[in-house]
Amino acid sequence: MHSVLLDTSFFIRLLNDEDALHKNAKDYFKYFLESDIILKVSTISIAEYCC
Amino acid sequence: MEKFGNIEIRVLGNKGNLKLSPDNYDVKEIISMLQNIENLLYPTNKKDRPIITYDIQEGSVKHIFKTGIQAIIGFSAILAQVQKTNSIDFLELKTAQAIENIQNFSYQKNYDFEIKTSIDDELIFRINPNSKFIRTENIWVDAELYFYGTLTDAGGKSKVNIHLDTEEFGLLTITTDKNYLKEQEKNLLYKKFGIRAIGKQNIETGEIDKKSLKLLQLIDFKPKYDDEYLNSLIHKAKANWKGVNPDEWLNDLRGGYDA
Repeated sequence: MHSVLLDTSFFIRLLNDEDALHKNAKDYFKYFLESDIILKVSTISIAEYCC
Repeated sequence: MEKFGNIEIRVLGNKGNLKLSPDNYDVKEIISMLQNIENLLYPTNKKDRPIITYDIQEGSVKHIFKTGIQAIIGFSAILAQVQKTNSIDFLELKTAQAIENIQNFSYQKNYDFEIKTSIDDELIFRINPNSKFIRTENIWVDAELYFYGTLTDAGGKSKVNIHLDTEEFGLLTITTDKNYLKEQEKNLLYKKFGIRAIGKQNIETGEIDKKSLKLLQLIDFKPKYDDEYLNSLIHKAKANWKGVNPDEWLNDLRGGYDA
């Protein structure tokens, strides 16, 4: 795997440790960074997260 | 069918009162042509390309290049299309630049160039001081660009630049301000950086002119997992998402549209 596109729900779950899927998001985030997988995010997701 | 083919670039003109011939054709002009031919034939695959051999002949001056037949067939089709459309805007950047270089040479020296291949003797592509094989500038616009990679070189006496080794674009040379490098207190070499740069981008194909890149900013980029740092961000952000169901929230925001 070379790169992944992260959707808005990923950021919401990653940055809220009370979310039911928080641990999954965090583990994926760690795995992507440790495996040198490029993380990509669209401007739409950034706009949605900042709403 | 032959495995090899030829490209002939014939140059017609004068050196003062003398007709152009290999005897009065300067070595710098030969070097310039040799630099262009690789970009004409193999713009994207220089590393694994077949061998290109060279010969210079009388008449006025004929540059003869011999290489694999596949590249000659491709090049012949390109010549036909450029001739038909009278434009080089559709070409890949390096091929377009090589044709532009020959056009500029024609303007400067008042030379006529006739280019043909062994595939089609009747197709002669002409570049002369009256032709205008120059890219339409307005399809190349300034764009802010981001690159990520390892910085492998920084400095230079007159042409100050940095070299960034990226996975996506290979090795990039980015023009830099000398003072910007001078002000950097830590060692930059062999560290990962994000680069914010300005450069020319083709608005139709998205292609980037790698020779036009100028550094705007080095971005500290540490793609290592840092649990402590992430937890501090979670601590700051979580209050905003208390009690929010992401699926429902996004569904409401997107109005039922699934991205």
